[in-house]
Amino acid sequence: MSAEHQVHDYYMNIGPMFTDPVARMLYAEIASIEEQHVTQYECLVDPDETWLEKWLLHECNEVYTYWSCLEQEQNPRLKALWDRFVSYELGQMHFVMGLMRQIERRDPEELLPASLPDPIKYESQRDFVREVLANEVDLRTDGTEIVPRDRESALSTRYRDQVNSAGSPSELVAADYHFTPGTELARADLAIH
Amino acid sequence: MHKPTDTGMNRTGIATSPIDSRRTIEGAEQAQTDSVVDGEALAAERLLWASSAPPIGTMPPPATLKGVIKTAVEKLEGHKPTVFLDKLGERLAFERTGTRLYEAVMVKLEAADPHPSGPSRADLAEIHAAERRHFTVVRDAILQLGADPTAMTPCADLISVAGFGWVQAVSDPRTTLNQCLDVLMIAELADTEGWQLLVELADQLGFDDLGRRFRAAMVEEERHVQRVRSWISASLIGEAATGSSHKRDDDVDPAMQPRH
Repeated sequence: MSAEHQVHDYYMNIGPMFTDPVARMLYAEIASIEEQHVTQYECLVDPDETWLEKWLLHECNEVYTYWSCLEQEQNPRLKALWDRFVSYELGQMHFVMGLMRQIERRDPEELLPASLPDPIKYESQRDFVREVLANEVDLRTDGTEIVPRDRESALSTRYRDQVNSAGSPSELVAADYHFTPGTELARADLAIH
Repeated sequence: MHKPTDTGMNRTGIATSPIDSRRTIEGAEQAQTDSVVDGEALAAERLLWASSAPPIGTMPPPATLKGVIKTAVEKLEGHKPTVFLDKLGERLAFERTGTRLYEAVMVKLEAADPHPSGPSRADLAEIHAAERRHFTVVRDAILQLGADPTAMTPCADLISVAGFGWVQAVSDPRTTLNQCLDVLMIAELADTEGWQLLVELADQLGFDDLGRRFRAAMVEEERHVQRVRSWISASLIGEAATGSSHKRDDDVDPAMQPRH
């Protein structure tokens, strides 16, 4: 959810810096999609979870993320940086653990895993991304369900028709773009060898 | 639709609000600290960063050498080939931006009611084609030297950052054709200088053929400067002489923007 918030903020902040109306519309469209993601993740939040539980798990997640960086970093200067950040996050996690004992009178260990899972793999994810794209690009919705294209609900189609009634900036941009080494200026004549 | 040179609701000047501006000045004076405002502290801080900053980028390692390329590269022996290649990368990025600038200005022209002495679509299309041709001239030169024209060299990176303002100016639907011609003028002047430097480098390194091709591009760029200059002076002089003339109206009405 934090990541979705962050990308939403990014598109909302950077879009208006462009003067090109097409770029502005594209960023506004993407921002609205990111907002949908934020809402979807918010819906998944356990309503019975306390603020301290959220905070503690957040800190734990930060430890895990930086630890993953630390485990895989080859550059000694950056490794030292990740090491320091893991220490910071561990300190903050222990602070929240203390608050949980003091305020909620609970043992934070109950919420924390005994060991961390394998580190997040900071490596090429191209195959994964291609696979997801190929398998999911045609998925649509039917109420709360994710369904194949032919089972898309009429409500979903109506929503899309309404939202895109004046055209879709992303389709406008994508229609005119095809990856070419050296940019599309290099396309019409000599191909790059 | 107003023209930018019409008098409108511009309240940016301090004279718009004499009472409030006096109060603001007085407030600033009262709040003034004892420090001397000479910018030295700022400069010292920036110097600290500039003295230890790494470069914004480095040159890529050379691509595989084969056949003709090898002969070309041998000529570079004893020289630092990356200096030449970095400037070629810069020119490539610049010509790409130049092509984009003319594409944007052609849209402006279509939305405007231009001055008769201003550019026609054919004029702009001709220069656009030249900029694009220059792009391929540089790309071919980079290939000939065995380097990768898709690589972003440090100078290419820098010139793209520097030229970003031009792209922003011509992409803004509110800017007029005349205003955009000013942007083209700056870009063309810089472009001519860039080609001049490439000609000198090619001559110095003994790349006679490249030197000839670069010189031809430079001559074309010099003509671009003259043409853009003539459009600017014709339309500006026309506008200034006729006051708020109906003849001079190159405002871009967003409603008239072509839909793609």
